[in-house]
Amino acid sequence: MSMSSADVLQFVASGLQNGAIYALMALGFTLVFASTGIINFAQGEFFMLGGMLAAAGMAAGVPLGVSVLAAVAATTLVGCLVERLALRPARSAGGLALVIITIGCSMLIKSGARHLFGPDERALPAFTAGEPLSVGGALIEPQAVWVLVLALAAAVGLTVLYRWTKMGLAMRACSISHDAARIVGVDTARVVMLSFGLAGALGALAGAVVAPITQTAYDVGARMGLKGFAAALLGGLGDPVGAIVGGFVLGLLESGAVAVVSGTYKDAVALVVLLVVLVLRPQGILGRHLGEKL
Amino acid sequence: MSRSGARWGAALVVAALLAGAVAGCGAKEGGGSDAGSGTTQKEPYRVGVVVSLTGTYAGLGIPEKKAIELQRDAINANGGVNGHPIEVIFEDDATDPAKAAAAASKLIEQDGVLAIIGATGTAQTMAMRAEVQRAGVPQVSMAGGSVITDQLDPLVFQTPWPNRIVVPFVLKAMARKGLTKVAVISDSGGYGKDGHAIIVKEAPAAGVTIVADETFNPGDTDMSSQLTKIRAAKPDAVLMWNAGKEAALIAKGMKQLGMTQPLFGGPGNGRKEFIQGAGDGAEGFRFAAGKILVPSAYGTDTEAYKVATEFIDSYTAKYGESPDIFAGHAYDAFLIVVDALKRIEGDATPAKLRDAIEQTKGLVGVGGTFTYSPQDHNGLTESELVLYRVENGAWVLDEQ
Amino acid sequence: MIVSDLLQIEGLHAGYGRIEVVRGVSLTVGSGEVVTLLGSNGAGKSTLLKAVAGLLQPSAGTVKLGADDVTGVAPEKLVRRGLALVPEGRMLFGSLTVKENLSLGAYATGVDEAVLARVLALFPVLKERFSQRAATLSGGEQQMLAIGRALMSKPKVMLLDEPSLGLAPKVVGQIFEALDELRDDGLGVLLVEQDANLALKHSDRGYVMRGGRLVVQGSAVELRCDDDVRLAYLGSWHRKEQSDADMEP
Repeated sequence: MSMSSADVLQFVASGLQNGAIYALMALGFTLVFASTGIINFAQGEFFMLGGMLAAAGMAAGVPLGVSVLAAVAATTLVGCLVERLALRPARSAGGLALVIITIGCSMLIKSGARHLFGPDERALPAFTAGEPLSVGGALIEPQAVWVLVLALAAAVGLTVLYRWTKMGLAMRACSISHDAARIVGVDTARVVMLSFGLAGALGALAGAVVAPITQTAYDVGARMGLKGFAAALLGGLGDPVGAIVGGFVLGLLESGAVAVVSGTYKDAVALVVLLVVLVLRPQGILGRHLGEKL
Repeated sequence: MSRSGARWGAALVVAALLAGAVAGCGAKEGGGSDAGSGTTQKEPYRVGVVVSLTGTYAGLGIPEKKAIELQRDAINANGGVNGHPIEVIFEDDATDPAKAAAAASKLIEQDGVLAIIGATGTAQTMAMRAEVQRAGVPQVSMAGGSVITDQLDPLVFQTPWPNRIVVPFVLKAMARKGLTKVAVISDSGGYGKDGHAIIVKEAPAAGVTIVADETFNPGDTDMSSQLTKIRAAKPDAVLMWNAGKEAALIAKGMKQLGMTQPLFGGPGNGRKEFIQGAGDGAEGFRFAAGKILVPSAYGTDTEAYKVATEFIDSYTAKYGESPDIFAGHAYDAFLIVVDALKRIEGDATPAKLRDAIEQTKGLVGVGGTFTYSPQDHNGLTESELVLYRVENGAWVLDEQ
Repeated sequence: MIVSDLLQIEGLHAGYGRIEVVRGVSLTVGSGEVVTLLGSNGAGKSTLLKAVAGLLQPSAGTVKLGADDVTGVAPEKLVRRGLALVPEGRMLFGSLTVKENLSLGAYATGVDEAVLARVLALFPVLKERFSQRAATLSGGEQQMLAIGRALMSKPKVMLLDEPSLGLAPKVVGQIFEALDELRDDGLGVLLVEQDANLALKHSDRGYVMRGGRLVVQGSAVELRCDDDVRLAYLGSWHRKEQSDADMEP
C-alpha cells in the first residue's frame, strides 16, 4: 500500500482538526492553572456540556446557532458556579483538596447530565451543510473548517484579552502572585471566577463545534479532559501559547501514530511522546517553570 | 475560616460521590415489589442481570434491561414460574470488565441468585467467568463474541449469533456480490477483536482478500486517519466489526473522505442510534443479523414469527419504540432461564438450573430456535441470519 | 503642617495560626510624616505591616484610616482607600515589564499620567528600563519600581518594608532622597528599616518594637540619642551587646 501526497495531507488535516479541539481544552486547563495553580478536572465536563446542551436545545426546537451560543453561555455560568460554590469556600484548604473538589464536581456534572439527557449518544447537525472541500487532494468537511476557524478565533480573542486589556493584565498578575496582585488592588477572587468561566466557555465551544463530527454523549468528558490535560502539559502548563502549540502537536502526533503504527496504539504513542517531552523538558515545550502557586 | 473551608470542600466531595452512587444505584431496583399479585406466594426465584447501562455499550444494555423488565412483569402477572414469582436484580457494569466481575460476585454472595443473565459485552462476559465457576451458578450471556462458547464452560450459555456463525455469513455475501478485495476496520475491544480473528481466519475460504486491516479503540472519536489508510488501499468494500457508537463515525467518515465503497458490518450495528448518528452515511450499509428486525423473514405462518411479533407488539406498547436486536437477545436469555426453571421439579438450585438450561430443546425465541447440548451452548445456526440494508433511514431485507 | 493621625493603629494583635507575633501595638502616622519602626529580626515588624495592609487578619485591635475603621479590610479594597504597601521582598511581577508593573500599580485608580510622570522623575532609571521585564532589573532598580508601583495608586499612606535590604549605599541614598520628596508632598510613611541610623535621619518619629510590642517611642532625634536604641540598633558600641539584643525572642 502506498501513500499519496493527498493521503499525507489527509492525515495532517485530521491531526489539525483534533489538535484544534485539544488546544481549546488545553487553554481551559491553562487559564485555571495560571490563576489558581490547580488542575481543574471538571474541564472535560465543560466539553461534554457544550455538546449536550446544544443538542438538547436543538431537540427542543431552538435554532442551531442559538443553541450553540446558549450552551456556551450556560457552561460559562457552570464554570463560574464551580468556582464560587465549590472551590472558593474551601480555598484555604490547599491545592490537593481543591483538585479533589474539582474531581467531585466533574462526577456531579456527569451524573447530572446522565439524569437530564439520558445515556444515549446525541447528534448535532453541521453548522453549514455542504460537500467536503478538496485541499490538495485532501477532503475537508465544512464542519472541520468551523472547528479550525472557531479555535483560532478563540485563541486570538484570548490573546487580545491577555495582552491588551486591564482584565488580562490582572489575570497575568494573578498567575504570578496572588498577594502581589491583591496589594495593587486586583480582586483575585473575581479573576479566579472569570478564569473558570472562560475555561467553561472554551470547553463548551470545543464540545459544541466538534459534536456534528463525532456525536456526543454524557460520558465524553473524561476522555477529552485527559487529552486536553496532556496537551496543556505538553505545551507547558500555565502558558496560553504553549497550550495551543501542545494541542496541535498532540493532534498531529495521534494522526501520525495511526498512519505509521496502528489505531490501537494511537493513545499509547501520544502518551510516550508526552512522557519523553516531560522527562527532557519538565516545563513543557514552551513553558517556563512550574512554580508553586496559590 | 480555614477549617470551615475544608469542611465545605469535604461535604461537596461527599455529595458528589453520593450523586455518583445514586446514579449507579438507579439500576438496582429489585423486581420483587410488584411481583405476582393475587396468587399464593411461594419463595421468589432470584435472577441477577449484569448489563451495560453506562459507557460504550449503554445503547445496548438499556434495551436489554427494558426487555427483561417487560417479561418479568408479564410472567409475575400470570402467577410466576410454578407459583414462584421472579425477582430480578439489575447491576450496571459501566462497560467495564472489572465492574462486571464485581457485579457477578455481589449477585452471588449478597443476593444468592440462581442464575446470572449477562453481560452485554464480550469482554465483560468473560470477566465474570471466574466468579460463576467458583459459585457454580449458570450464566446466560447476551454478547456475540465466539470466545464465550468456543471456550466451552459447563456453566456458560449464549443467546446471540456468535461471530463464528455471522462472520462467514457476511464474508460469503460480500463474495457473492463480487466484492473480494476487502478492507477491515475493527475495534480493539472484546467483540471487535473476537470478530477480527475470525475474519482473518475465514476470509480465504470465502474467497475474500484482506487489503487493509485497521483498528481503533472503543471511545475513539476520530476515524479519519484509519479511513485514509483504507482509502489508499483501494478496496472493493469495507467491513467493520464493532458494537459501539464508533460505527457511526466510520460511516460518516467514509462519506466525508469521498469513499463510495459499500460498507458491511455485523449485528452489533443494527442500532437506530447508528442510523441517526451516521445520517446519509448510513444509506446502503449492509449488515447480518437475526430476523427480529423484519420478522416476516421467518415466514408469517411460523411459530417464530408469532413469538417475535408478540414481543415486538408488547415492547412497543410499553416503551413507545420497537425493540432492537439487543432487546431480543435479552428476551431470549430470560426466556431460556424461565423455560428451564419451569422444567425443574422441586426447589430450584443453581446446579439443577444449569442442567435444565443445557437440556433446552427447540425453544423458539426471537433470535432463533434454541437447542443446547453439552457440546453446544449457543444452539443457533447460520439459517437464523439474514442480510439487511439501510434504505431511507430504515432496515430492509437485502437479499432473500 | 502635619495632619496627625492619618493612620491610627490601636491595640493590634496578629500572628500565624496560634503563634501571636504582634501583641498589642498602638501607633499613629500623620500625613507628611515619616515614622520608622525599628526592631531586630523576628520582632514582628513585617507581620504588623501585613496585618495593617489586610494581608493578614488581625486577631484583635483596630486600624483606622482617617475616620474610617478599616480593620481586616482586604488589601485590594484598602488600596482604593489610599493605603499602599511596599512589601517585604518587593513582590514585583517579574515576568511583566516595568510599564506593566506600574500600570498594575494604578489598577485600582486608573493610570494618572501626572503621577506616572512624577514616579519617573523620582526614579529616572525606570524610564530607561520601561519596556524591560522587572526580573531583569538590578536590586536597587527593583526597589525603586516597587515604590513607584505603590505610588501609582495615589496613596495617602505608604507602608514601606526594608527598602535598603541588600542594596549598595549609593542606591539606598537615592531611595531615601526620594522618600524626603514624597514626605514634602504630604505622603504619610510607615517605614520598617534595619539601618536605624539612616532611617532616623530621614524620619520624624520612631518606635522600637521588641517581642511583638512597642518598647520605646519618640522623635527621631530623641531615639538617636537614646542609649538603649544606640546600643541595640545603631551599632555604635560593643558588637557583643548587639548580638545579645538580636537574640531577644
